[in-house]
Amino acid sequence: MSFDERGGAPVLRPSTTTEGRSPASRNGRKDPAQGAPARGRRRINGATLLLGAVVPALLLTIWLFASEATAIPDYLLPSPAQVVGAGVELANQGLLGTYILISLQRVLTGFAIGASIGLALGALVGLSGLADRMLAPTLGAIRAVPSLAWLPLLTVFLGIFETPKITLIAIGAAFPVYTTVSAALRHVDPHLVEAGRAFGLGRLALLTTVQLPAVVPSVISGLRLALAQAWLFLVAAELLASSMGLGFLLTDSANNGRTDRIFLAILLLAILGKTSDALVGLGERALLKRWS
Amino acid sequence: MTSIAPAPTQTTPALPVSLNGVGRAFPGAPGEPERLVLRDVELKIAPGEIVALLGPSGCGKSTLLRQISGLDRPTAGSLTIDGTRIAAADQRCAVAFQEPRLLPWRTVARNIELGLPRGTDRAAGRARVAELLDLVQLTHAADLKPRQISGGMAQRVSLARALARNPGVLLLDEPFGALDALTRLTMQDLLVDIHRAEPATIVLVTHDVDEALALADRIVLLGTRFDRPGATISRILEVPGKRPRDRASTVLARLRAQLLDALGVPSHHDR
Repeated sequence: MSFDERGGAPVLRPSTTTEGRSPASRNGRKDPAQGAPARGRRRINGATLLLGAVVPALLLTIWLFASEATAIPDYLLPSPAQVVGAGVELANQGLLGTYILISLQRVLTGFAIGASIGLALGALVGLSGLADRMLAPTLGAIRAVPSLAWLPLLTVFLGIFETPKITLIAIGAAFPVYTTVSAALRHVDPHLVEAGRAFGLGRLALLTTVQLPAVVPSVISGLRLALAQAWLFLVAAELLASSMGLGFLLTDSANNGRTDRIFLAILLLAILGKTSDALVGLGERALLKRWS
Repeated sequence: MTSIAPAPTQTTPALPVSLNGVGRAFPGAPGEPERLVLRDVELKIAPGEIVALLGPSGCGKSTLLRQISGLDRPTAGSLTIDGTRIAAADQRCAVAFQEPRLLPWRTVARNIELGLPRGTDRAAGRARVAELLDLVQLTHAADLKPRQISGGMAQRVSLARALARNPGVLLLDEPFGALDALTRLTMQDLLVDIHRAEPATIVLVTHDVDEALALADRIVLLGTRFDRPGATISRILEVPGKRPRDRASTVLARLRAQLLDALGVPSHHDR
């Protein structure tokens, strides 16, 4: 299952959370699984930040060297200074802020809508055997459609403004959440569910007392994947049909031979994507502390 | 759910259990006949009695216990508690499973709370949980999460959660099976104390002959006859002596030898 081309962290998440959850099913064997949930949760301190900065610093040095000290022409490889310059220029024109904001707005709106739909569908399919048998094959087939294949259809149906873009992003964000939540609900430790039943919990109480808390870690990792996916689909939407945003900046710059702006857009996407993921990660920490 | 919620600190009287010709068959794999696990189980359990169900593993002990708890239904015969039929997940019983099955995101105290009868008011519930924590000697661990405590402690939490129900019938499914030998002995003594403090009817599934001898008023041996599928009661033994019992007593040693023989294990006992 690889929704993600944007860096390893989100893709690795599900496995770490499964590990975090497994003490639930194991709890009470001889080892109380001490420390197990702490795995996968790193403490962030100065040394961690410093180590994380090593590779970017190295890349920057290589870039500097390659652009300044070699014969590679600027139109192929602009220098870091030129990229910064391109950013300042766009900012002065008032475009940079607009592009970033419009892209952010699209990602967040699409993500919110998609994640909500994914949660609802995931809960339905994960909890009801009937819904599972009725919906899962269809949803699986829809998920198999490559993202870009939707774009022409969405443009025909929904025009060229915000709606088709946000719809595409929502489609992209819905599936990771749907998949992780439905799978997690289906695999809530049957022992815990039975214990809940034995202690007189009805269907609804069972859901709120046992099943939902048990899937909190999976929901978060699904949301994290969905956010990464939302950025991916944003660029897809903006590359093909838009007049604003970071994806537009990419195509526009490619058409005009502005390599410096392409670099700028890619760097901005990397920074925005990583920052939003880190923010969700912070929320994840807090929630996992409470729910595991 | 119709659960009576008595004042939490007051224990519900122990209830009698009656098993009338209980049988349970599971549907077989497609194309295969159904698999008969239990047949013709007849047993009357007196209020406050401790009965140990003993038998080799896989003989249907846990299945029988699940019939009494109402988590599973028999395919033949019927069961009653206090003269009325057992409902699905009957609230007059409480179960402690072989694994503690604690909710990992709840503290020890909040896990015990789960066992309180529905509709217990907050203050009374808190008082009852405190009382139970004291009974299983875990007051110091009230605010720990299950992952922070040992297996023996987790099993005591599970026991306290079952007791929180004020059960008329307490069902224990190899509750100490996964514990180390020393912890198991301590837990058996604890159970004796608990039974004295809150004398529910207890049905205990175990494969440990010594555990059965230390705890039970009667030991019910389950077994399968070579010529018929399905386990049923092969023998019932009364265990003499008041609890806590001398584990080295000669009477118990003789019973142990009989039980081991019945289970097909050479006892190497000198008569």
